[in-house]
Amino acid sequence: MNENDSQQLSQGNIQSSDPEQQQPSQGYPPVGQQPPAGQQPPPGWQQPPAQGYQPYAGQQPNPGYPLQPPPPENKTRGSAIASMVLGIIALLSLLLGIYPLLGLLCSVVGLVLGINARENQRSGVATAGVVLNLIAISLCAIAIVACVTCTGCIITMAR
Amino acid sequence: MLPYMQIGSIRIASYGAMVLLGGYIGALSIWFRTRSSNKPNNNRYSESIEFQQALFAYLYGVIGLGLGAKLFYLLQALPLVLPLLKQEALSSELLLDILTKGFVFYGGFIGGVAGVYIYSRQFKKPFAPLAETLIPAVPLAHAFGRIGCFMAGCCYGMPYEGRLSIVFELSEVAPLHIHLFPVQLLESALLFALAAFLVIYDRNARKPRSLFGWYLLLYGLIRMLTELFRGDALRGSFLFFSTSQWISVVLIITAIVILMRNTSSAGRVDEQQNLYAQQPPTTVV
Repeated sequence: MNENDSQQLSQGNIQSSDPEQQQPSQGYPPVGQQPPAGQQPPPGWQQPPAQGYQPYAGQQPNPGYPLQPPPPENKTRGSAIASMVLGIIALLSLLLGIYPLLGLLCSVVGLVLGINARENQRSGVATAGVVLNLIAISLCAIAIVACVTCTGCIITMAR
Repeated sequence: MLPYMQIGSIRIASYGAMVLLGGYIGALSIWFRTRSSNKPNNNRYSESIEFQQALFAYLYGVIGLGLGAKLFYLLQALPLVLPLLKQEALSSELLLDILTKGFVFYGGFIGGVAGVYIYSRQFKKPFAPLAETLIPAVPLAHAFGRIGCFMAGCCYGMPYEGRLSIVFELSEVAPLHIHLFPVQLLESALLFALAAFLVIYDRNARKPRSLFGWYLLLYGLIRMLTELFRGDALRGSFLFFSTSQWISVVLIITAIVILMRNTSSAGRVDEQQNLYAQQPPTTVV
């Protein structure tokens, strides 16, 4: 087989005379190709795998693998902004001493929204929301949370 | 002992400060466990979890812990609060006290597990590796929380005149000027030991979910023991056990079931792992 034949062979114009290089001519399409439209696949033909990788049974998929389509960007951005705003409100209410419980609630909701936004799309606003709400929750812990496990004690203290 | 710390004009609740410290140290321990290690150790679930995922699951767990602990506390306090509601004697200050003070650990634990589970379902992350990664942080943070209890004077021990007894001179909760057993410090020490055991156990070859099972088993036993020395008798009780001891019994039974299921399925898991190890890598066309 000369150089010209090799070139034509690589382009698919002619078949190789070398029996080792010949594809089985049983009407099977080449590996990895679909049968032509309107034709039934011959017996024994199998759908080629969509990916070259199939996880073993019981194996967890790669955590970074996209299991679902990404959510709309506007929704994610809205969550991120809401998280940051709630974080600012929580910090202000705690630092100014106005309705600390409101601040705690805002920071919890803001933290969940911030995590949601950060999981869906990494953005600076979402990160800022998570950090602000974490600071607010930390302040709550040291400012208003106290331990009174004895249920009667609160009532006694109040009287 | 020291329920509040005064820094300038700012008053800080010791209990909250210790819980916060425990929470941050727990997060730090998760960072240590999830950071990439040069040592190949395929038996560790924590190797396959990124820090951000683990941290966010931890935060979901913390939120669930707070809600669960508060909910259980409110359920316990309901018989005392309801008469006040009927008498219309429930002031806003008392309501604030009820909402910000008082937490039940077991309620928090159930809420925390629920929080991590919600995270895993919401973001399609595997629950078991996440739980295994986070679980050593729980006794670590809890140990700091018990030190906070000691400083606030809550969860105090029974009257005890022997060595190592403690006397509270300043507390809103504990009986003052009475020698008490330092049950908070005992539980804290046992929890530190439990956290150390889980981390060391995790470094060696182990089976999936066994870390969670060991935690449930050992903490259940610790709680059964420490409840015997508790002196704050106004917590709920039923028959011969306190509420916490009954929950401990449930935890211990659950742990035994988890560990026994692991043992029975260990052979199949090992066979599968050997099979995978022998298979050549799949050729990507």
